[in-house]
Amino acid sequence: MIILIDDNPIDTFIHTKALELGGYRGRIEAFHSAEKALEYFKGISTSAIEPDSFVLLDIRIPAMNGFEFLDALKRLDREVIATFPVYFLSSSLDLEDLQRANTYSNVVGFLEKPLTRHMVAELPGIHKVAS
Amino acid sequence: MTVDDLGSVNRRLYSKLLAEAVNGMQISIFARKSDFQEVTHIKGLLKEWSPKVFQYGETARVGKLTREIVILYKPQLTEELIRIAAEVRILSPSCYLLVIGEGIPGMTLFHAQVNCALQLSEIKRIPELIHELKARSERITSDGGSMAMQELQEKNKELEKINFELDRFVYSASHDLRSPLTSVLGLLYLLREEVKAEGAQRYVSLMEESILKLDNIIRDIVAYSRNNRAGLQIEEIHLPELISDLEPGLRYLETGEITVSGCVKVMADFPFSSDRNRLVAVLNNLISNSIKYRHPARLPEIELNMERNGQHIVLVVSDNGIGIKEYHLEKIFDMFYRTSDHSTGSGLGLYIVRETIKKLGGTIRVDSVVNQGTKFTITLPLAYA
Repeated sequence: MIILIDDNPIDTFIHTKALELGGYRGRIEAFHSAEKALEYFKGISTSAIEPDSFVLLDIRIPAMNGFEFLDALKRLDREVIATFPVYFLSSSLDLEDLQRANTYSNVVGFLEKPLTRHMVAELPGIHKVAS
Repeated sequence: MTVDDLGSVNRRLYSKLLAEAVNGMQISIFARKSDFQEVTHIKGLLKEWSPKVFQYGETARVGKLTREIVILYKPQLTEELIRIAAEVRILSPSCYLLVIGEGIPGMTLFHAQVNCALQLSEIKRIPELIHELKARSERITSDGGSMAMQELQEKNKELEKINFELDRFVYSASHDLRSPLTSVLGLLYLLREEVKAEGAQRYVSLMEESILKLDNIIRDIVAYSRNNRAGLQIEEIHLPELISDLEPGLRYLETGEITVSGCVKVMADFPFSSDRNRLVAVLNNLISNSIKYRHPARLPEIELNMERNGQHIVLVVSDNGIGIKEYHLEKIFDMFYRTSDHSTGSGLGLYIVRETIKKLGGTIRVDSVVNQGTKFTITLPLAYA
């Protein structure tokens, strides 16, 4: 399962399409605020988490931003959620954002918008998720 | 209050107080040899500080004046005053420079170099002036409590805050400008997948090109701001590693099958110290230019060479591209300079390159032969203090 978190519905639409064009056939959940995504994670049962799932997370989201979301995930204090792999997907050119992203152990990559099918094809595990 | 007012009261006490007040202050007097007789009079007024007397023309021989007050006595011509004041300023930039003379036209015009000018008839005011000066300098140097110091610290804090806010502003503004661009770019990629008609594909390509051009301008502005504000982060650098850092930054170049690793050859390599991010930005610019302005008749080849030259490192980036016409060469580092309306850049790239090299304490030079290639020679310090 891939979880998209981005306040811009145009972007979640583009990213969903790019994932499909890149060969991904699994489930996609899009959230347009970090709070809603957090509610989702609070309610999810450990057994419902598919292997090789990951999050594509925007950084600058109104109200709760990407970093605050990661901090909140950690505070949920559930091993399976705190280690949930996260890719940042942003149009930020701020090196500080990049450095800060690297301080989270569950952040596995930093992608620049827009997501393209070529980028999707290079994401490790994408085909395993698809199967 | 002048020395004269005190004459009948207690000249000795006044002198003693004065001497204590300006304790440690040293005075040099410059005069023409023929005026030394008159200077003796001033020396008498200032005898508490045992001033030394020199001739005009001796400024260079005297060398750096450790004395804190320099008096020029009767420089007779404007040019003489300007020349000597300048000489003194070069040797001792922080001394207090007092000129005594008469009828020097436009004397007040030189206040940038001269702190105070007195007429000959005002000679008796010198001790009083020096007293004031000392009092003022004590106010400035007394730690923490002084108004001047506090004001300076406040201004400094304010500037730091403004710099920080400006930095945040550039990143926020650039992000807000780029977000819609990346959305449009994403939609164009989708359009390209779904609409296969030849005309439509061409329009999509042109739209992509225009958006990438705009995006490049925003990237350049951020790079410029970053170079200006971020402090140097010096670390050990290996050229081949630097080149592998470039690849993602050159992703959007419309090059087809041309890759950085395919056309860049590192001819020499030894570790040196510099700011990695800045150097990556410089090489990114130079190499993407080499690829952008490659010769249509051949594949691009870019050579990176380096050598040690005393306390410097010389880095040479040369290509086999179309070259740059001679009349452009001296302007290509200028802000917003573009060689033609067809060039797709912002006109900031090489300007940022030069500013970045400057920040690293180095220099950059360009040589080029049309149809043969271009060579950039970068000189950087081997070590940073």
